[in-house]
Amino acid sequence: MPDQLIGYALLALAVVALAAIVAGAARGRSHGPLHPPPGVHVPPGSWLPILWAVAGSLLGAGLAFKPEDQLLNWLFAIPGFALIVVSAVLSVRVAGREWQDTEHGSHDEGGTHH
Amino acid sequence: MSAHAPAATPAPVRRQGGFPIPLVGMLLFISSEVMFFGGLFATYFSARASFAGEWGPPPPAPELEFFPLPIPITIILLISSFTMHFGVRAIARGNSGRMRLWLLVTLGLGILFLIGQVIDYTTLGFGISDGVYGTVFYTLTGFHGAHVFGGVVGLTILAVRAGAGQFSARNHVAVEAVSYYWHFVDVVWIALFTTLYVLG
Repeated sequence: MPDQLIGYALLALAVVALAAIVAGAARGRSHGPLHPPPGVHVPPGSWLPILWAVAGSLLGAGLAFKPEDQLLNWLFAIPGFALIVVSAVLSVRVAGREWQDTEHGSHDEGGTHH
Repeated sequence: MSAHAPAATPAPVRRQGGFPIPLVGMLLFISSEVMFFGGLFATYFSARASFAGEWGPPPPAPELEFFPLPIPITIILLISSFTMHFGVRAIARGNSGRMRLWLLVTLGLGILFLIGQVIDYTTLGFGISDGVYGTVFYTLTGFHGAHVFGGVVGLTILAVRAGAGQFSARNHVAVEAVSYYWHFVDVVWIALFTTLYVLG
């Protein structure tokens, strides 16, 4: 049990650290419009990598911090799996928009300039 | 292009015949993964070298066997690398439908591997907390399984996007990137299988 407590404490510490980093990054964000130089295609900022990381961490915690007689700690595993599904769906939508932009919008690679 | 304003002319993201930047990113990611698994293998061999007594599954668990599951799931994963390659070849020729088919086959094989690994876990007779061997065994195979799961998620996303017609012979860099990752996961399993089951 003490080992599990240490694990939970480390997990909580990681969540607090992540929240602090996100808060710091949000405060330091410049307020003007951020556009890449003409002709350079850069994907816009996204929360998806953080969402993926949280989802993976929850799923990992569900596998690691489990009671002896159970396959998973469902308290972590179910939200983790649900977040992975949400992340995947959002990623597909973002990739779809990216595809539209690349194929039909202004982009050097596509050779279709507007 | 105006000769008076050369500074305003941007460099293209992907030059004709150049190496796509997303693939460079994937290769860098795989490089970091090589170091990650290198550390895990180092842990395994270090623990094995310094272990006092007979190295292997803690008694009364039986020795690791090739059958009924380890060899079949290894073959499944090997075949999945070929099916992934066929998918990349198909889209490179502009055949989106065939690529999707190969992606779904690869996805199915990946899921089969994961199911096989979970079933294998239930038959081993030792757990992650059963000594040093149990810890390193489950850490190595567990992290590999997590990577296969990541690949399965990636393949699912690719299959959905392929269904929406989002890949073409000219633009299929995501398929190539995931294929690199999948081949890497396959290679890691070969190394794991050799280390755990062949060398013992």
